[in-house]
Amino acid sequence: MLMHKFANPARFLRISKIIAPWCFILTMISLVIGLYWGLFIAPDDYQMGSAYRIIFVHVPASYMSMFCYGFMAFASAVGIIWKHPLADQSARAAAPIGAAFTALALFTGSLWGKPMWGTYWIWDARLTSELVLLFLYFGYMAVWQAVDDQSKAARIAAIVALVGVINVPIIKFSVDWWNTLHQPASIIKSGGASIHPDMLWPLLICILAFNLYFITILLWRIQSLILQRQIRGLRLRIAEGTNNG
Amino acid sequence: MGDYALYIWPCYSAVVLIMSVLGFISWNSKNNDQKKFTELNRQLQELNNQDL
Repeated sequence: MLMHKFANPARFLRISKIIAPWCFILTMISLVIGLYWGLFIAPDDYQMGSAYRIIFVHVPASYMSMFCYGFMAFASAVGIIWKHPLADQSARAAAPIGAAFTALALFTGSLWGKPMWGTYWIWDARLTSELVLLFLYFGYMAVWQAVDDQSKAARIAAIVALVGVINVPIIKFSVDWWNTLHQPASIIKSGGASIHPDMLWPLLICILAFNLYFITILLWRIQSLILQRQIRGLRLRIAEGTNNG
Repeated sequence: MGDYALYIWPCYSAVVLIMSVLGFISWNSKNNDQKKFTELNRQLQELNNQDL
């Protein structure tokens, strides 16, 4: 019911214009605190030394890469079931953000891999499934670009998103299901986090910052997509008015 | 940070750069669309006024 209430594009525009600036301010504050804490205040790891500081950007980026895809698949499912255009636009708006997080996760991961494993890249289950996720994002965005009919594009893109979501649990559990170089989960696992609070807190702040960033950019992008739809409608009405006149 | 700075700084720089670029593109696109929408709305109102 609440979802339907906010699914009205005009209401969504009005509310998102109030929320987005606050999200942006909170993103900047939490990002500066998290990154500064991670870079300069958190102590060195006894085994990895300073190299572990990459986790403060790598872990949030990896987590967000999966979260964005989950969001995209959920919005796509809502779009297919209830045929609400705002759900399709939400999924479409989330795709470039998810692709950026995935690219960052791969980049920062490879830079962490070099000093720790001695190589930038290895065809490990976790790395490979994350790379597949990046291609899924590209595929999803390509569908929207390739198909002119927006409702048809939404349907095809939604199917891509829903089929691809199977990759998300594969990424998450790849370190448990297969022998990989990548370390197992250290935050979300039974028995609680295995990271010292001095390192956990800046990490949690960075994760919060990345989440807030996602919300901010998502709101801006959805606003843009709604406006583009309204612009198309206005252009048609102006053209009709000019022709009739 | 010692030798690891060579790996740590590019990671943080890439995060800041990509997030800034994506943020700016999204914000700019939203602002441009808002301007276009306002302008077209004004044109439509003028057209309606002429008809009246």
